Amino acid sequence: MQNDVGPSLIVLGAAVSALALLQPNLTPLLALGLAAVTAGLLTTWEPAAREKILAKLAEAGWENVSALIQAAGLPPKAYYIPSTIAGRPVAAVAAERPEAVPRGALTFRAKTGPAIVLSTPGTKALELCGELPEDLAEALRSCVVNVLGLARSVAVAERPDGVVVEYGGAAAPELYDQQLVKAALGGVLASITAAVAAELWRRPVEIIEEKREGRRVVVTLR
Amino acid sequence: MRYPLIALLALSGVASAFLTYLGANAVDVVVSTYTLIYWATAPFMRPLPRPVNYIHAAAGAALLAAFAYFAALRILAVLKI
Repeated sequence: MQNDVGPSLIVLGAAVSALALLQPNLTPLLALGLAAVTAGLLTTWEPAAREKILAKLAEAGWENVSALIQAAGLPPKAYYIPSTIAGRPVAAVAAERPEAVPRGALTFRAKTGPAIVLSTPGTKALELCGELPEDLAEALRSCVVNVLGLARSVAVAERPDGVVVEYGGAAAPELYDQQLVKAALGGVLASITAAVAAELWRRPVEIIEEKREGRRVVVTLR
Repeated sequence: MRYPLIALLALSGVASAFLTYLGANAVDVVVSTYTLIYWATAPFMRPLPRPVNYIHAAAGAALLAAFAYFAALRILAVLKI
């Protein structure tokens, strides 16, 4: 909604300014119209510009995570682990689905080799969202749509190959778009979806597929 | 940045109301008053990230240019050139 305030102020300010210029005895309203246009311009551009800069600064952390995954020689594939198993909601990057994750560990040795335990956007989203309903669709609506405001709508469908979650009007920021960590953790929305699903199902969850078509995002989980 | 923007809108609203009360219907007076308010609130708006500070500075420069034009017209009228 914040994105709509700026353009609305610009339109309002332009209308007031036009009225002030066309109606001779209303000329002083020009000051108010110009102020509304200025406020609209700044409100439209400022949050997006600041968000872009913060995302760029935070990229350093994701670059380090990418380098860590690469240095460990792990495939870029994460399993989202619920707090009932790992003590907090995390993702384990490992060659195979880990059966157990030591609490508080950064790395551990799984059956097939080393594994890395990472905090993800999903971890932080769960901190922000607090208690969630037991149903996945309800939980995602409550967290992603109502609390985080990262999508306008969400629909969940169960298919033989996994659970398909479809977001409409997605507006999630890209935190690590061009990096290896994206292949491992999935995008921001996929990460949050997987973390929420893992918490509700109380078992490790992996992202099978993530598709983005304009503002529609489809995430398939298993 | 929220409070300086509110101040800009509030001061402009007060200035509009006062100029209407005075019956000052000249565009140059209104634009000059708004330019003054704009630059008075400008230091409180900053710091702004890069594309936005360019927009803010460009709008301020345009207002200053308009103010300079209106001031020049008034000075020329006084000097009867």
